[in-house]
Amino acid sequence: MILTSFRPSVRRWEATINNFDRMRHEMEHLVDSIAGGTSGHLLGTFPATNITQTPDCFHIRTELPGVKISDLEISTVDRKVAVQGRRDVEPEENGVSYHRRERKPVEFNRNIELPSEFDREKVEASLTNGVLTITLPRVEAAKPRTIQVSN
Amino acid sequence: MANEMTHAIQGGNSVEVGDQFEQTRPGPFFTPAVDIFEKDEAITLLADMPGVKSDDLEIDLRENILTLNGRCESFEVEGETDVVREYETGTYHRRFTLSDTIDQDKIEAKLVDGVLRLELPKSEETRPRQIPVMSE
Repeated sequence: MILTSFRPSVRRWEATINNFDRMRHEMEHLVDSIAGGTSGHLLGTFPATNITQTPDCFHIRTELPGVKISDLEISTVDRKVAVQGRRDVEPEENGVSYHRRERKPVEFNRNIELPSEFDREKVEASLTNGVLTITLPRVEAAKPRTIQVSN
Repeated sequence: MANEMTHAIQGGNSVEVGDQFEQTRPGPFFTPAVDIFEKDEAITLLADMPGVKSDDLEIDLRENILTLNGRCESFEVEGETDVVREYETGTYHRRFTLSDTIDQDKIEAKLVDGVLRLELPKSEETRPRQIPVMSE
Protein backbone atom coordinates (compact mmCIF):
# COMPACT_ATOMS: atom_id res chain seq x y z
CA MET A 1 0.00 0.00 0.00
CA ILE A 2 2.11 2.87 -1.23
CA LEU A 3 0.66 6.11 -0.09
CA THR A 4 2.80 8.85 -1.43
CA SER A 5 5.79 9.34 -3.51
CA PHE A 6 6.85 12.86 -4.21
CA ARG A 7 9.69 14.38 -6.10
CA PRO A 8 8.73 17.97 -6.61
CA SER A 9 11.30 20.51 -7.63
CA VAL A 10 13.03 22.51 -4.93
CA ARG A 11 11.31 25.67 -5.99
CA ARG A 12 7.90 24.13 -5.55
CA TRP A 13 8.91 22.76 -2.17
CA GLU A 14 9.87 26.15 -0.95
CA ALA A 15 6.63 27.55 -2.23
CA THR A 16 4.64 25.13 -0.14
CA ILE A 17 5.83 26.34 3.23
CA ASN A 18 2.45 26.32 4.76
CA ASN A 19 0.18 24.28 6.89
CA PHE A 20 -1.97 22.70 4.19
CA ASP A 21 -1.18 19.11 4.92
CA ARG A 22 -1.80 19.51 8.60
CA MET A 23 -5.06 21.25 7.83
CA ARG A 24 -5.97 18.44 5.52
CA HIS A 25 -5.30 15.93 8.28
CA GLU A 26 -7.55 17.93 10.56
CA MET A 27 -10.25 18.09 7.89
CA GLU A 28 -10.08 14.37 7.31
CA HIS A 29 -10.28 13.82 11.01
CA LEU A 30 -13.38 15.99 11.15
CA VAL A 31 -14.95 14.24 8.17
CA ASP A 32 -14.10 10.91 9.80
CA SER A 33 -15.77 11.87 13.02
CA ILE A 34 -18.94 12.78 11.11
CA ALA A 35 -18.88 9.84 8.74
CA GLY A 36 -18.13 7.39 11.52
CA GLY A 37 -14.54 6.63 10.72
CA THR A 38 -12.96 5.80 7.41
CA SER A 39 -9.29 5.94 6.76
CA GLY A 40 -8.03 9.37 7.72
CA HIS A 41 -4.32 8.99 7.26
CA LEU A 42 -4.63 6.92 4.14
CA LEU A 43 -6.09 9.81 2.20
CA GLY A 44 -3.42 12.31 3.05
CA THR A 45 0.31 12.44 3.05
CA PHE A 46 1.52 10.09 5.70
CA PRO A 47 3.74 10.50 7.49
CA ALA A 48 3.86 14.30 7.70
CA THR A 49 7.42 15.40 7.00
CA ASN A 50 9.36 18.62 7.44
CA ILE A 51 12.70 19.28 5.80
CA THR A 52 15.07 22.02 6.90
CA GLN A 53 18.57 22.99 5.90
CA THR A 54 21.63 24.71 7.26
CA PRO A 55 24.82 25.44 5.32
CA ASP A 56 26.21 22.12 6.59
CA CYS A 57 23.33 19.68 6.46
CA PHE A 58 19.72 18.78 5.86
CA HIS A 59 17.30 17.60 8.53
CA ILE A 60 14.27 15.49 7.73
CA ARG A 61 11.74 15.20 10.55
CA THR A 62 8.77 12.90 10.32
CA GLU A 63 5.91 12.29 12.72
CA LEU A 64 5.65 8.56 13.36
CA PRO A 65 3.63 7.98 16.51
CA GLY A 66 3.60 4.34 17.55
CA VAL A 67 6.18 3.20 15.01
CA LYS A 68 8.92 0.99 16.43
CA ILE A 69 12.50 1.16 15.23
CA SER A 70 12.25 -2.47 14.12
CA ASP A 71 9.37 -1.56 11.79
CA LEU A 72 11.23 1.26 10.10
CA GLU A 73 13.61 1.14 7.17
CA ILE A 74 15.57 4.06 5.78
CA SER A 75 17.57 3.85 2.59
CA THR A 76 19.41 6.34 0.42
CA VAL A 77 20.34 6.45 -3.23
CA ASP A 78 21.81 9.47 -5.06
CA ARG A 79 20.05 12.50 -3.57
CA LYS A 80 17.07 10.50 -2.42
CA VAL A 81 15.98 9.12 0.91
CA ALA A 82 13.28 6.48 1.24
CA VAL A 83 11.48 6.04 4.54
CA GLN A 84 9.39 2.90 4.71
CA GLY A 85 7.61 1.26 7.54
CA ARG A 86 4.52 0.17 9.27
CA ARG A 87 2.44 1.44 12.14
CA ASP A 88 0.41 -1.19 13.93
CA VAL A 89 -2.48 -0.61 16.28
CA GLU A 90 -3.82 -3.12 18.73
CA PRO A 91 -6.23 -5.55 17.09
CA GLU A 92 -9.80 -5.55 18.25
CA GLU A 93 -10.60 -8.00 20.98
CA ASN A 94 -13.78 -9.74 21.92
CA GLY A 95 -15.55 -8.50 25.01
CA VAL A 96 -14.24 -4.97 24.58
CA SER A 97 -16.43 -2.08 23.60
CA TYR A 98 -14.83 0.62 21.48
CA HIS A 99 -15.89 4.22 21.95
CA ARG A 100 -13.33 5.68 19.59
CA ARG A 101 -11.29 3.99 16.92
CA GLU A 102 -9.45 6.79 15.13
CA ARG A 103 -5.90 5.49 15.11
CA LYS A 104 -5.28 3.46 11.98
CA PRO A 105 -2.73 0.83 11.11
CA VAL A 106 -0.79 2.09 8.13
CA GLU A 107 2.04 1.11 5.85
CA PHE A 108 3.99 3.96 4.36
CA ASN A 109 6.69 4.60 1.85
CA ARG A 110 7.93 8.13 1.32
CA ASN A 111 10.57 9.06 -1.17
CA ILE A 112 12.24 12.38 -0.58
CA GLU A 113 14.64 14.00 -2.97
CA LEU A 114 16.92 16.62 -1.47
CA PRO A 115 17.95 19.73 -3.39
CA SER A 116 21.67 18.91 -3.28
CA GLU A 117 24.02 16.04 -2.63
CA PHE A 118 24.72 14.67 0.81
CA ASP A 119 27.35 12.36 2.24
CA ARG A 120 25.57 9.03 2.32
CA GLU A 121 28.20 7.55 4.66
CA LYS A 122 27.44 10.08 7.36
CA VAL A 123 23.67 10.04 7.49
CA GLU A 124 22.30 9.66 11.02
CA ALA A 125 18.79 8.81 12.11
CA SER A 126 17.09 8.77 15.49
CA LEU A 127 13.55 8.12 16.68
CA THR A 128 12.55 10.17 19.72
CA ASN A 129 9.04 10.46 21.17
CA GLY A 130 7.50 9.33 17.90
CA VAL A 131 9.45 11.75 15.71
CA LEU A 132 12.06 10.45 13.29
CA THR A 133 14.98 12.80 12.66
CA ILE A 134 17.37 12.11 9.78
CA THR A 135 20.45 14.30 9.54
CA LEU A 136 22.24 14.36 6.21
CA PRO A 137 25.52 16.29 5.97
CA ARG A 138 26.08 18.00 2.65
CA VAL A 139 29.10 16.97 0.63
CA GLU A 140 31.83 19.64 0.58
CA ALA A 141 31.12 20.54 -3.02
CA ALA A 142 27.44 21.16 -2.20
CA LYS A 143 28.04 23.56 0.68
CA PRO A 144 27.23 27.16 -0.05
CA ARG A 145 30.23 29.41 -0.50
CA THR A 146 30.60 33.13 -0.34
CA ILE A 147 32.60 34.57 -3.18
CA GLN A 148 34.69 37.62 -2.37
CA VAL A 149 34.49 40.29 -4.99
CA SER A 150 37.82 41.90 -5.69
CA ASN A 151 38.19 45.31 -7.18
CA MET B 1 -9.73 23.47 14.12
CA ALA B 2 -8.78 22.40 17.59
CA ASN B 3 -12.32 22.62 18.80
CA GLU B 4 -14.09 19.47 18.00
CA MET B 5 -17.66 18.55 17.32
CA THR B 6 -19.48 17.19 20.24
CA HIS B 7 -21.16 13.92 19.81
CA ALA B 8 -22.25 11.44 22.37
CA ILE B 9 -21.63 7.81 21.80
CA GLN B 10 -24.72 5.72 21.95
CA GLY B 11 -24.57 3.53 24.97
CA GLY B 12 -20.98 4.46 25.62
CA ASN B 13 -19.39 5.63 28.78
CA SER B 14 -17.21 8.40 27.50
CA VAL B 15 -18.55 11.45 25.79
CA GLU B 16 -16.66 14.14 24.07
CA VAL B 17 -17.20 17.51 25.65
CA GLY B 18 -18.16 20.50 23.59
CA ASP B 19 -15.11 22.48 24.23
CA GLN B 20 -15.47 25.79 25.96
CA PHE B 21 -11.79 26.00 25.99
CA GLU B 22 -9.74 29.10 25.69
CA GLN B 23 -6.27 29.08 24.47
CA THR B 24 -3.76 30.52 26.87
CA ARG B 25 -0.59 29.48 25.13
CA PRO B 26 0.64 30.73 21.80
CA GLY B 27 0.82 28.39 18.84
CA PRO B 28 -1.56 26.15 17.00
CA PHE B 29 -3.74 23.48 18.65
CA PHE B 30 -4.33 20.07 17.19
CA THR B 31 -6.74 17.24 17.80
CA PRO B 32 -4.87 14.01 18.40
CA ALA B 33 -6.34 10.78 17.02
CA VAL B 34 -7.53 8.59 19.89
CA ASP B 35 -8.72 5.07 20.56
CA ILE B 36 -10.91 4.54 23.59
CA PHE B 37 -11.99 1.12 24.64
CA GLU B 38 -13.65 -0.28 27.67
CA LYS B 39 -13.44 -3.54 29.50
CA ASP B 40 -15.24 -4.59 32.66
CA GLU B 41 -12.49 -3.32 34.91
CA ALA B 42 -11.05 -0.31 33.09
CA ILE B 43 -11.23 2.23 30.30
CA THR B 44 -8.13 2.57 28.12
CA LEU B 45 -7.33 5.62 26.05
CA LEU B 46 -4.61 5.79 23.40
CA ALA B 47 -3.67 9.12 21.81
CA ASP B 48 -1.14 9.90 19.07
CA MET B 49 1.05 12.75 20.28
CA PRO B 50 4.27 12.67 18.31
CA GLY B 51 6.99 14.94 19.67
CA VAL B 52 5.53 15.37 23.16
CA LYS B 53 7.82 14.67 26.11
CA SER B 54 6.30 13.29 29.29
CA ASP B 55 7.17 16.54 31.11
CA ASP B 56 5.12 18.50 28.59
CA LEU B 57 1.99 16.40 28.93
CA GLU B 58 -0.80 17.42 31.29
CA ILE B 59 -3.57 15.02 32.13
CA ASP B 60 -6.32 16.43 34.23
CA LEU B 61 -9.37 14.62 35.55
CA ARG B 62 -11.86 16.51 37.65
CA GLU B 63 -15.56 15.95 38.03
CA ASN B 64 -15.39 13.27 35.37
CA ILE B 65 -13.94 15.61 32.77
CA LEU B 66 -10.71 14.33 31.37
CA THR B 67 -8.52 16.92 29.67
CA LEU B 68 -5.38 16.13 27.72
CA ASN B 69 -2.86 18.81 26.82
CA GLY B 70 0.40 17.78 25.21
CA ARG B 71 2.79 20.49 24.20
CA CYS B 72 5.21 19.66 21.42
CA GLU B 73 8.42 21.65 21.27
CA SER B 74 9.97 22.07 17.87
CA PHE B 75 13.00 19.87 17.31
CA GLU B 76 14.52 22.55 15.16
CA VAL B 77 17.46 24.65 16.27
CA GLU B 78 18.35 28.16 15.33
CA GLY B 79 19.77 28.63 11.90
CA GLU B 80 17.66 26.00 10.17
CA THR B 81 15.59 27.21 7.25
CA ASP B 82 12.60 25.46 5.72
CA VAL B 83 12.82 23.40 2.58
CA VAL B 84 9.46 21.66 2.98
CA ARG B 85 6.96 22.15 5.76
CA GLU B 86 4.06 19.74 6.07
CA TYR B 87 3.35 20.06 9.77
CA GLU B 88 3.62 22.58 12.55
CA THR B 89 4.28 21.96 16.18
CA GLY B 90 1.90 23.14 18.84
CA THR B 91 -0.34 21.65 21.48
CA TYR B 92 -2.45 18.53 21.24
CA HIS B 93 -5.68 19.08 23.07
CA ARG B 94 -8.71 16.93 23.74
CA ARG B 95 -11.37 16.68 26.38
CA PHE B 96 -13.85 13.97 27.34
CA THR B 97 -16.36 13.26 30.05
CA LEU B 98 -16.30 9.87 31.64
CA SER B 99 -19.60 8.79 33.06
CA ASP B 100 -18.25 5.82 34.98
CA THR B 101 -16.63 6.44 38.29
CA ILE B 102 -12.92 6.13 37.86
CA ASP B 103 -10.63 5.13 40.68
CA GLN B 104 -8.49 8.23 40.49
CA ASP B 105 -5.69 6.81 42.64
CA LYS B 106 -5.03 4.01 40.20
CA ILE B 107 -4.83 5.92 36.94
CA GLU B 108 -1.72 5.04 34.98
CA ALA B 109 -0.27 7.04 32.11
CA LYS B 110 2.55 6.00 29.83
CA LEU B 111 4.02 7.83 26.88
CA VAL B 112 5.85 5.51 24.53
CA ASP B 113 6.99 6.35 20.97
CA GLY B 114 4.75 9.41 20.88
CA VAL B 115 1.62 7.50 21.92
CA LEU B 116 -0.08 8.17 25.25
CA ARG B 117 -1.61 5.16 26.94
CA LEU B 118 -3.95 6.02 29.77
CA GLU B 119 -5.43 3.27 31.92
CA LEU B 120 -8.45 4.40 33.90
CA PRO B 121 -9.52 1.65 36.28
CA LYS B 122 -13.13 1.68 37.35
CA SER B 123 -13.85 1.86 41.02
CA GLU B 124 -15.11 -1.32 42.65
CA GLU B 125 -18.73 -0.14 42.96
CA THR B 126 -19.12 0.54 39.25
CA ARG B 127 -17.76 -2.73 37.93
CA PRO B 128 -20.36 -5.05 36.50
CA ARG B 129 -21.29 -7.90 38.77
CA GLN B 130 -22.79 -11.25 38.00
CA ILE B 131 -25.70 -11.99 40.28
CA PRO B 132 -26.15 -15.69 40.66
CA VAL B 133 -29.76 -16.78 40.47
CA MET B 134 -30.62 -19.47 42.91
CA SER B 135 -32.89 -22.19 41.73
CA GLU B 136 -34.92 -24.18 44.11
